[in-house]
Order: sequence, then C-alpha cells, then structure tokens
Amino acid sequence: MLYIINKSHTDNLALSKCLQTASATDVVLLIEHAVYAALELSQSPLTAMAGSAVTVYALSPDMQARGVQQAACLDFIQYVDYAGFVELVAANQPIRSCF
Amino acid sequence: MKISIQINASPYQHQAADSAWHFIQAALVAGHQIYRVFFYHDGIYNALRDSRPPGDERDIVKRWSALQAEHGIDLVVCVSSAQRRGLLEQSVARKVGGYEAALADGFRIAGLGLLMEAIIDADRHICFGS
Repeated sequence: MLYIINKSHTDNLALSKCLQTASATDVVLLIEHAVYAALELSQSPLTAMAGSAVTVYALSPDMQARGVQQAACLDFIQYVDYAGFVELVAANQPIRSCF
Repeated sequence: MKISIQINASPYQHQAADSAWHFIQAALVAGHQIYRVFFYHDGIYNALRDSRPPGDERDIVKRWSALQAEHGIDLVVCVSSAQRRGLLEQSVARKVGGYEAALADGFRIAGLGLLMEAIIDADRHICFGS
C-alpha cells in the first residue's frame, strides 16, 4: 500500500495512525506540509522509525517550497520528484490518501 | 496505466489542486492516461469560470481548462457539491433563475456515479484534499 500524507504531524494524527498500521511492504509518501515530518529535529513519529522496514519518501518540490533541506532530514528518508511520485503510484496498489 | 484523480479542496486555500496538476503533468509525460479528474466537495471551486486571480499568479481554473483542451481529459464536477455551493449547470440555472455561465470551459457536471466508475475502471485512484 502507498500511504500519501499531506499534513504536518503537528496538524493531525494521520502520519501516526498510518505508521501504526503500515507493514514492511508498505510505502509512505510525504507531500505538502507533511514534508516537515522528515526533519530530524521535528519530533515527528518518523524519528522512532529508524531501522523500520517501512519505506518513507518525501516529495522534493514541496521540501524546496518550504525550505526543508535534505541535510536536516532523517537519514532513512528517500526523495522523489513528481516523476518519482508517479512511479510510486504505478508500483503500489492500493493507494490511501490520509487527511 | 489509467489513473483517476479526485480533488476535494478549493484551489486557492489548499495545495491540493496544485499537487494534482503537477502529478498529472508528470503522469502524462510518463505515458500514463488520466482517466478522469473528479472535483468533489470544495474542489468544485476549481471550475468557477469567473475566478480572476491577479495577473502575475497562476490561473488554476484556466489551467484545468487548458489541460482538457490539450489532452481531452474528462473534468467532472460533482453535481451535489456544486449545487450546494451555487455552481449550477446552465440548464438548471435557467430553470431556477440562477447564473447560467458559472461553469468554466472544459468541465462538465455529473453525479457520483462517474466517481465510482473512475475508481472501478482506472488502474489507480488518487485523492488530493485538505
């Protein structure tokens, strides 16, 4: 399953709830304000995910729009642009947008 | 691959319409088919013909109309969501005395059946919202 999260972890519990149910084969994509959760000092639920089998991506154009630098992010985060977003959609089914 | 898109948020308050538009551009470049874009809830504001953003800003409504004209993508506005918000199809507006030219070029108004059809027929369905 591909989980798409678009809210910061300080806005709602979508990311937390998603991580509670995600399995090793699942993929999480952070878009829009959710990219803030990728920051190492954000105290987001992702900080406890180091070593987890869940793969977490962040949408790089949304990071750039918010000044979120890769160097300040958790080291297991992977990055995609919109073309990579499309590839994730093609490679995963079902897709769940969490609001 | 056939991909359907659902947009649930208004264009200038949330990023959903921008995210969807950029995603669609990338999907088309990659050779995928956009089966339908369904505008639901406040997403219907993407179809307001008289939207007039400042000249130095992106015009989200015109951008959708251009996408439809260039690629023939089916842009469907939920009838219930639209009528609740005062966006009426021409024939309905004429009947009730409403504004007849509210819907922007390239959009059509229809029911939730077309959302269900898109979810069933497309290979992937993605929802962008607030």
